[in-house]
Amino acid sequence: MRTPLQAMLWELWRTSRLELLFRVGIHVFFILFLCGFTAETGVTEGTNIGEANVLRGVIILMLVSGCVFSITWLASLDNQHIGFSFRLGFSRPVSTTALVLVPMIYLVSTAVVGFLFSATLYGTLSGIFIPLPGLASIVACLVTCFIAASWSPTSMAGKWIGTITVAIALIGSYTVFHIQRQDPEPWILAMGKSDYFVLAWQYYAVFLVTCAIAAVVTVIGVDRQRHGDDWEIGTFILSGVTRFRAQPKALASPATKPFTGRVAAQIWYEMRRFGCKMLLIGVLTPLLPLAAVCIGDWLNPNTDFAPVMWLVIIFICPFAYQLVGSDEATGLRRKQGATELSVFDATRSMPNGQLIAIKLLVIAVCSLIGFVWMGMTAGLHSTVVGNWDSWDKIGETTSAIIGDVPGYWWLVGISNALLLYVSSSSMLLAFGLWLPLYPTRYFAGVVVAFFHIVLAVWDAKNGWALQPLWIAYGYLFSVVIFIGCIFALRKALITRAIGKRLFGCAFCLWLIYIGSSLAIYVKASPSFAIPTPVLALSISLLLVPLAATAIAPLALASHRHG
Amino acid sequence: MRIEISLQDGVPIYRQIVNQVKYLIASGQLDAGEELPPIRTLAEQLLVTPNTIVKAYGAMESEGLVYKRHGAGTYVADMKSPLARKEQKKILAQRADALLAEASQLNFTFDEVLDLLRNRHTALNKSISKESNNARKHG
Amino acid sequence: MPENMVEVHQLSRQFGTTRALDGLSLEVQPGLVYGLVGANGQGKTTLIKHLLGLLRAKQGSVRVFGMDPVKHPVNVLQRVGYLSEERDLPEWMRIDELLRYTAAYHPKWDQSYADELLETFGLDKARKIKELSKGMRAQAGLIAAAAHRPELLLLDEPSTGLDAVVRKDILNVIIRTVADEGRAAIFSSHLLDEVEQMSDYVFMIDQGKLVLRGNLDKIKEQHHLLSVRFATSQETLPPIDDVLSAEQHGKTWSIVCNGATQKVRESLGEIGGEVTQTRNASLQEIFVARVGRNSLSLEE
Repeated sequence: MRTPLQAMLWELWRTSRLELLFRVGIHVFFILFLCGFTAETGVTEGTNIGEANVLRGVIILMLVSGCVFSITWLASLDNQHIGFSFRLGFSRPVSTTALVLVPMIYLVSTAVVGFLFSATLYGTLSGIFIPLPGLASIVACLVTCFIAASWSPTSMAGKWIGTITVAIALIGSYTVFHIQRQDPEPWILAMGKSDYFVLAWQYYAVFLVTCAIAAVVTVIGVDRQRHGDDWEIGTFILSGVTRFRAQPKALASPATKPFTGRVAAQIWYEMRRFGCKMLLIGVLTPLLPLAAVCIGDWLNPNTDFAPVMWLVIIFICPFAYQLVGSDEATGLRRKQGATELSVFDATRSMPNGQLIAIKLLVIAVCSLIGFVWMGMTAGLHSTVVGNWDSWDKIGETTSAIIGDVPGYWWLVGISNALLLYVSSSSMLLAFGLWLPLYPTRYFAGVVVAFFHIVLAVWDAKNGWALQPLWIAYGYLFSVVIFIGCIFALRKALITRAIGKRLFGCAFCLWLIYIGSSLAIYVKASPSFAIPTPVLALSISLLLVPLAATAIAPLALASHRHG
Repeated sequence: MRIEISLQDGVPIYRQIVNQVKYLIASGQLDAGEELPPIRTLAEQLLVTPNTIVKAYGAMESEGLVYKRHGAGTYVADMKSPLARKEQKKILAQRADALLAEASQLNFTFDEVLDLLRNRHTALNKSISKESNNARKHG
Repeated sequence: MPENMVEVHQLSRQFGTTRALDGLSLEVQPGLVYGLVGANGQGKTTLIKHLLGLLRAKQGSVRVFGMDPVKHPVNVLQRVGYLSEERDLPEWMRIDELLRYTAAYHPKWDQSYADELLETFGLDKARKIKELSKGMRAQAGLIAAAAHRPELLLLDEPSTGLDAVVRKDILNVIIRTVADEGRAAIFSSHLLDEVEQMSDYVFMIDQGKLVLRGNLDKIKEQHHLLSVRFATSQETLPPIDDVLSAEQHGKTWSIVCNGATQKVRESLGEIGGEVTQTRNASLQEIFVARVGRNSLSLEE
């Protein structure tokens, strides 16, 4: 490495290469899944333009958001250090401009290349045309703006203001663009048209200028951070805020009351560490679909897709919150490329099972609050707009599908869903804890899975010639999952990674889960037949929620005890 | 009670404490029957482990310098006893050893050392009488 | 004889190809202060991490209060006060929040002692940990470790990078902890004069092995520093039993020897050396003699 530039690029590559590989893997996996899906529907450019447009629109949306919200810089969004992520560079003999532009260009390039790769792959495999230059420029512009919003501010408030500003600017400018086209069709159809993202040179000029402005702003912001200055406007606003907050603090000092026990203390700790962040995200997220729905209503006053959209989002949001929460809850810190559990967390005099249970509790409570709030926002919006009859129609359609069931079945279904949700949180937590320990094994698994997906897609197109293989896989996996769960449970109980009381509670809940699943199966089985391998797989999967309670404490233990 | 610990000459810390207390007693800065600081206090003052103080007090007790009063403190023993005089002699002997060793190093004969001692003694007496004259004049 | 607070038996640990610990055995008894001495990367922190259960003993065994710290994290960690080398504390907490949180884990928390230490150190309770200087972080971490009157105080490089005032505070806390019945303290340090001043017992670790252990006073009385003058200039000295190191300054050599001083004098006399000065070696001199570059002690 002879120049500082080479050194910086090497450092960036070394700290981000695993994440990049992971992203590539996810993209390919996703593309292949989409290809298989498209192949199933038999939609191509030639046959059905309308549906092709919808498909293209959806895929463009997913690809762009996937490439923009990459892990590398998203991680810097919720980092402990507000501002520039590569602070070690401040004491190196490089100018701030180089220090900022090199990683920025690196991140933008990786995002754009990722997008081009995925889009080309999809286009080639499915035969649906995706306009590359326009979208690639949009991706580049978005990434630059979000990086600017993430690196320039020096306080949490500044970060949120910056990010929200960029989001609003994005939505606003896009709305203007869409209105300008004066397309009478619904938005998704319009967006999917093959000429929608084919842009005139003026647009590229605008993107370039925006990127340049964002880069300049970032360089200035980081330079201030380098020399210990603050954004004066920011501090001015903040000082007003803190002055306002300081007075009530002086009067009441609840911080002097001791905790009633270590469980209470740990709950407080986890809440302060990541629960508040989750709550904040939960409170602010409904604004996005709200904005989208309002704009959609304004653009297309005839169609009423709001209830469907709300329903989908309400269904998805707990899982999204769960993903965010379990990533934060692991307590692992990414320090200059290495992931580790802090010594402070590792020396808590509390058993691993209890620590995991408290993390799950905080995740569950915060997700629940977010979920309820999302529902309330939906309800509020519907009341204001006055489209409750659309909701009724959906309700009728659903009842028609499910058929006539007594009320208590809803209870069974809901309890089943809740238990599954908690166990999936546990699995996500365990996954988040295991992954940094064995990145190579995980990557190998992804490669193997990717290969099989390709195989499955190919097989689907060729009339399921390999069906015996898939059946065999079904049985094999059920056996493997079953044995794996038993093994994990045994290890957890022997090493006492989970205490007897906690395990007892989990076991009782699991019995309830088994009972409700069986009941649902018995009730539903006359309606449709389930092939045997799938049945075997489902039975083995029944064991997974119980094993999940064991796996997360085991993963935490391996971090704690090296 | 002012004690200084030095890590320079390799003398164990507890020994240094013992020696310094001996000196304080012999030179009259610690009176008979005076209480020595509690172990904990002295440990915190000197920044040494309590065990070291325990050792020091134990050594002093076995040499007859101090005595313990039924677990309630350590007190300086009466120095007029023949044991005390013996201890004071030991202190001087140590000083003499050091002087003689240094003199031998610097190639002084024993007679030269004696001459030196006599000269210093005379000088010391002169300055003491001068001071007492001044004190009488201004006193 | 009091029961051992810590028992380490034939502990070995490898990280990749590096042997961090190699067949280490030691015991810690209550009522004493133990100094852990060794050069960087020789195994001090690895040993301390084993005592806390932060590393699982793969070869050999570790028992703290008679229990395996990995199997009984609650029982062991509750009675241990630990200050890590990196002063690892949550950045976002305030000092009073940190103390309140730590108090919940240790039933024997003494709030008056914590308040007294806060005042002595002059720390502002309302400040966040990320705003604190290095010395203040060490002080805050020390209060959290010591205020619950732990039976075992484990300090990993407590004085490194700190000014003399804060160092005195730390030593003071160690003394106050050990002055109570049945407590022990283990602290690792590079500052050998501190270890010399503050330890009853010393463990010297080199390349993962325990090269020297014992009561500090006995060690110092056993090791002697001899100044030897030779009539003619010597290039090197022949190997002599019990001589740990030999350093040349012109015609005079400084020799550190362990134990049989008289025999060494005689051996030196045989090769024409005259011992001009003898004194007890300081811990620093012993350390450098045993593990430094001029060391002649090649214990395999």
